[in-house]
Amino acid sequence: MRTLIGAVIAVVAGLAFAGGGTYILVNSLTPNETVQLKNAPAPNNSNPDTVNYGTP
Amino acid sequence: MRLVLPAVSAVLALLVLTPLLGRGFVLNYDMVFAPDQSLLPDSLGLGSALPRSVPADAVMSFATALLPGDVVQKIVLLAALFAGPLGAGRLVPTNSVAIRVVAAVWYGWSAYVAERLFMGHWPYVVTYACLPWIAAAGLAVRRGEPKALPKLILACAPAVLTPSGGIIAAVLAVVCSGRRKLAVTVPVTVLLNMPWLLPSVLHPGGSLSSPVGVGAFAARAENWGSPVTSVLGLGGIWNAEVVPGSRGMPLLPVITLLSVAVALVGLRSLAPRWGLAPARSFVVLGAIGVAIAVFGTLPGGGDVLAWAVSHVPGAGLLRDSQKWAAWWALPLSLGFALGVEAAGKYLTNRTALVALAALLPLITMPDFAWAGLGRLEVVDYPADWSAVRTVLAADDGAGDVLALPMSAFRRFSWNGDRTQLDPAPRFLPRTVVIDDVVYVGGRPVSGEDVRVATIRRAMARNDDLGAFGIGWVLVEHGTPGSVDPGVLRGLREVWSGPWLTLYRVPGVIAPPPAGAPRLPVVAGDLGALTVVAFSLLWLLLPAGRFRRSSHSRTVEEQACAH
Repeated sequence: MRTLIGAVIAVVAGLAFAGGGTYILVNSLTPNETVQLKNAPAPNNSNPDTVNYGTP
Repeated sequence: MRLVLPAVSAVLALLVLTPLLGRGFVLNYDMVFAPDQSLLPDSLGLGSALPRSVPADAVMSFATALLPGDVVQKIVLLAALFAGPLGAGRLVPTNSVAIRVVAAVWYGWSAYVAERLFMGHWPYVVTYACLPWIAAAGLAVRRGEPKALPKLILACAPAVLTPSGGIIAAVLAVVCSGRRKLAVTVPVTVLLNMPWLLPSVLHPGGSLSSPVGVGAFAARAENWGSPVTSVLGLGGIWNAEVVPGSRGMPLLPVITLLSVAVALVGLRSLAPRWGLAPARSFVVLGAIGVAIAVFGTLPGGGDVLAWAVSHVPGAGLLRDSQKWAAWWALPLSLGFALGVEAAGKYLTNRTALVALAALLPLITMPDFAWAGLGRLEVVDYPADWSAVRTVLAADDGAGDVLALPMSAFRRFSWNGDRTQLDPAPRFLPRTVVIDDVVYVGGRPVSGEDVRVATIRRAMARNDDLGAFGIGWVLVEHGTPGSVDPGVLRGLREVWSGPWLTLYRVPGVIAPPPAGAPRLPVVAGDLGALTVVAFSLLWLLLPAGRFRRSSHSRTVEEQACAH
């Protein structure tokens, strides 16, 4: 019983992490076409006159 | 077995801080330490700026008088990252060391600590570390244990270095101590917070803030989940740049909700062990912390907060609302550990379950380790800074220093182009005026310092800076921003190097504008210091032994009489 529970936990956790990793990879490889670069705020510290405190 | 919890806590602290333990400074966002910080009016809240880092700056000026600033910084960070998990582990009402370890890891390896550390908010990290000790002392006060009150005061003392930290600590102390002790705990915690409270109340420019900052500093969603799930998982800080990459993991909202469910199950066993009233208050405070943290992100919440910060003095403390989630950290960690303990009863071998529970925070946020995998590094200030400090210390003339370019934050190549708060106000031995407008996502959020606004207008007109109490102008090189040559025209160059140039403003230098009145502020500082000193003496002096010896003498006298 103990081994069975351990195996189930290991399989579920493994699948979940593998699935999560795949999702991140796929998401980071696909360009986000909804972003309107023309009107987007300047990325941090790209403006030579200001230092951004942060990006919300 | 007694050493297991301290050992685990030490390992957690060293896992993060080992790369930073060499000589040099960690300068990142709001974290600025200097080799020998001077005690200036601003350190006590007597300057023109709102007392955001009061009395932290005053305490650091005393600490760096005893030890070099970089050593002080490492001691503070190590102590905070060690004491937090240790206190949380000790607070769990259980006989199992393993369950204490689970609570310690969940409390110490949290997104709150990681994000606040990467944001440079070291006073919040210190406050967070004090919370388990405050809760333990507060519960002891509620039970009427001897010497519990001085322990509570000493546990609160490191937490009240900033306004927000002081409020977080004071409210937890009052809640854990209970309604019957209000007459003692409320005055004591108010007195402890006097060093920042009085300068804020007496600040001549008032303490209203810009409503623009409410949206900019609101809690944010770190993944596909909402800000609520981020905050429930103790993350959700406003600045995306300081969030560990692992917080974007798609599985994280699911893990967060599962851990909250386990914690809620575990918290049910808190009432039989602590008593219903303290357990309920403790959990309700955690829920209130989450509610305040996400309030600005709810429909209409941002408008309410925007109105409050621009009309209610001191309501600016509600900006960057994620910091209030600190109250939720203890119920989550303790509840999760107790939930694991309860689940373990249904398994014949609970080792695997406890091990997985204890390792889960490290597995889900591995990029907190090793100073955020290189996110933080130790650097040395260029020699220019010490040279300018020497020049300013040697001059007896009046006048404050104006730091240019006008920007609160800097990016120097000697610090890996990291965003860092201008170190001049803490490095130099005179009051340094820096811009208080901050840019968030490229948009300006105005500050509250009336003097800075006046000086900005004067520079635009090329007025004499001496009329505004400015005796020196420091130009910092190698950082974004430009300096109008017209401002420097007529100034005398005193010192110049690759990173800094110092100019003297000629002519008569007017006295700086008056800040909060000195007498009440210093009296408040002395009051807080006295409370802490008396608590220390109360604990160290053998008061209890005198009472016992007197009692035993009476017993002996009675025995002799018979």
